[in-house]
Amino acid sequence: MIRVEKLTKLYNKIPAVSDISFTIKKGQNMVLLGTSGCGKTTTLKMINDLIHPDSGEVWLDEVSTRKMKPEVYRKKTGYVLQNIALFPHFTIAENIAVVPRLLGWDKDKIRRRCLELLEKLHLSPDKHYSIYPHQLSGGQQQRVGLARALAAEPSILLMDEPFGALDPITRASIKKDIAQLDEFKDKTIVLVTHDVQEAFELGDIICLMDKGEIIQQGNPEELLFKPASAFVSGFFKEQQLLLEYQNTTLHKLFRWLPETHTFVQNLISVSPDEKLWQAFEKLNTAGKSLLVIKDSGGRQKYADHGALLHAFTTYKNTIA
Amino acid sequence: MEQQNLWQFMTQQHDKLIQQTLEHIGLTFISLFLALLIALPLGIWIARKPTASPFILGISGVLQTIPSIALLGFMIPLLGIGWLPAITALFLYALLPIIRNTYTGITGIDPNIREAAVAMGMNHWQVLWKIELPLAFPVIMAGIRTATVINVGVATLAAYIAAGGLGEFIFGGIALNNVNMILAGAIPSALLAILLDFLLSLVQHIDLKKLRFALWLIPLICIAAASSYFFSGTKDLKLKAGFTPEFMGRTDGDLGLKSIYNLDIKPVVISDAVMYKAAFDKKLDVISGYGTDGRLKAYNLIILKDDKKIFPPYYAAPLVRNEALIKFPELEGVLNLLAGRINDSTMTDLNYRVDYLHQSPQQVAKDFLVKAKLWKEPLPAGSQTVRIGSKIFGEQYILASMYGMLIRGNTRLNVSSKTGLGGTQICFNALKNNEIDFYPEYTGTGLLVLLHPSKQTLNRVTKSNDSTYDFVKKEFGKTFQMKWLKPIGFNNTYALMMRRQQSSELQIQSISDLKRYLDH
Repeated sequence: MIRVEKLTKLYNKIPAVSDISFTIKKGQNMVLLGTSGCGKTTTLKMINDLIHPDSGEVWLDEVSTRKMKPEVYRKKTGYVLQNIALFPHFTIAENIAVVPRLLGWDKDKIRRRCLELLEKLHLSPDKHYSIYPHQLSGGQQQRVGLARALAAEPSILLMDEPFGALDPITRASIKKDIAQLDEFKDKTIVLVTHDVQEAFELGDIICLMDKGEIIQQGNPEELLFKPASAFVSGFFKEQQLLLEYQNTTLHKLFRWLPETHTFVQNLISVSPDEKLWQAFEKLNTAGKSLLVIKDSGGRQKYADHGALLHAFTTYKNTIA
Repeated sequence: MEQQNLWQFMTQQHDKLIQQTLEHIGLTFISLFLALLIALPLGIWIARKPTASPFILGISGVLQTIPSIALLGFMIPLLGIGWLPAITALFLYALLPIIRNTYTGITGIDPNIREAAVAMGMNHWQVLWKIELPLAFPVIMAGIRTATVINVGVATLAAYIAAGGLGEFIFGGIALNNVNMILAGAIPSALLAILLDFLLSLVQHIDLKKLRFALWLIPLICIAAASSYFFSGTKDLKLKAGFTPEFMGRTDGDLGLKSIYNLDIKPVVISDAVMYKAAFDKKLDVISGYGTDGRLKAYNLIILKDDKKIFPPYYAAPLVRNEALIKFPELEGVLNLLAGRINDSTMTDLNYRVDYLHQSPQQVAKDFLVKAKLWKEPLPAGSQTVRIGSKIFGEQYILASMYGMLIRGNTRLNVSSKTGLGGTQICFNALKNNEIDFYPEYTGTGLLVLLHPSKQTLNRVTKSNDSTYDFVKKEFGKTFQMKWLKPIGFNNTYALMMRRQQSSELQIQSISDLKRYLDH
């Protein structure tokens, strides 16, 4: 859990971050979203005291960081940098082992943990264990960067644009792997990005920042459908439709979908937890077909393109 | 004199060579070690304190720009002579390369890497030891290598202030025009620089995992090498002697003291510039010097009587190219105006004014000429110019000025002075190569340094002052087509000197007394 209260940081008396507060529950992912210079990275770095706040307080797992030495809680907080910044004079294994070593783990345990992480992050324990960072590709380096952050099993993970330096294909592949890894599931994560897609993809909570202040924080749907200001709606404008499709579950549309169907050539069964975007994709790839959606109560509804669009429009009208 | 090759010289002098090499290594490494102790932490500190870095780098940069011989000069009033000022000067020279490279090495590290290290939970020391020093290590080592090579070079100058090292051979060789001697000092010191640089380059490429090992290794090497200085020879005698490099290698110097007087006084080698003061300050008890040196008067020193006559007479007289005498017929007469006019005590006094009271040689020359009623207003000059040379010390400057004034006052010749032509050899070569027309030279120097007579001849011609002058005059006319004009009067011979007070306390009046005193 991370609780941040009234954090402020001034540079030359001009606030870079002013009066920011938020709480992230255990296991939640929070994305700090905004343009360059909005204060999102400064906010992130104040959490592990890489930047010391001028005022305000941070609690990690219910303990105020003021009561701890930064070196102590940094070891319990994984950190991933945009520039990756592996230690060039350490081997891959030594890079991963940095925090466990600082914590004084025994050698065997460190070795096992390194091998385990290499495996999990789809690196080769044989090939990559004792080579140096410069011998790896950018994508592989960031996998090592993630492994280094995860090595000592921190409960909190801070990520500063972790995919910023990677090409789109490598980025997608790493994100896919991360989504599947249990290492990430129970972690409280703060991720900084300027990529709206990424924010909605990875964030349980999105915190949209501008000029050092939080403009709106909430779950993705809240930001999309209940923008707090013109700035928020303006920020998502270009990708609005796509984001709406991607962030609306069929469950939300369920009551407006028809219970009967006229013609059936091909029935595809989908879960109500699936997103509208995925539903469209399935309809498109399968040719002339119809979706069957079953909710937890056992009721069954049917949908084609038209029905989905109609339900979505009605849904939007009700929440607006 | 029999020609000796370099190898023969080095074999013959191997004791000295080994001792000087050890001293040289010792001086280099003691100062390097001290510099490491100061410069590494300082470099690390300014890398973290950007506000202090221009200041610290500025100061060490300024130290670097002080000419090494001047820096040694500054040290003497503060620290005297010997190893202390030498090591201090070397230490100061080694600071800049190490501080700057440590600073550059650390500040050159990608800030993201440092941030990653801090974010992983490393404290300041861990960031320094695990990240900054290993990454900056090659750059820091490059600085240490630079400092080492600089120190090997500058350490040759330690011979000027009685701290030993290979400079003893180099400066002795230069003063005596002995190429073998120069090379016997220069080649080992060059090899030493190359070798040390090579060894440190091996350390530089050491596996970074063994960094701790390397960081321990360097000071250990330093200390081990430094200790060689103190094993290199103990110089403990009842009286402490300091001789110039030139005196050390001359038959009418230390060699003569050994062979004729049987006096082995184990002298340290020291520059003429600081030797007298060192005797006055009781850092030295017996020094070699010149009979008419002004500092004799300034520092209240007395000359020990040369009762076995090893120092031949050094009568000063103008040494002129024959061609110049033909080209300027009036020259000889004008130069001879000074003949027999200056005796020992007058010359000592004139030197005293220049060397100690810091009056200008021109002023002192003019005052003397006016008093001697030799001075005349300069005449309008024609187109012909006489070129006067002089060696690089006060007495020669005074004489050159006097001759210039006499020529201007009595002829319509122009005068150009080439003063500061270094030692005997440089001056003499300038005369031989028609770069100057005349300079004041000493009969003893002409005899021993330029003519190299056989032992029999030497014994024969040094019997009296006149026989030396006659022999030199005859030989120079024959061999070099140069003429010795009439002697000026004073005898600036080599001499051993002591403080007046100590000499009377110990009742040492002559070199034989000194020998007797040391034997008891």
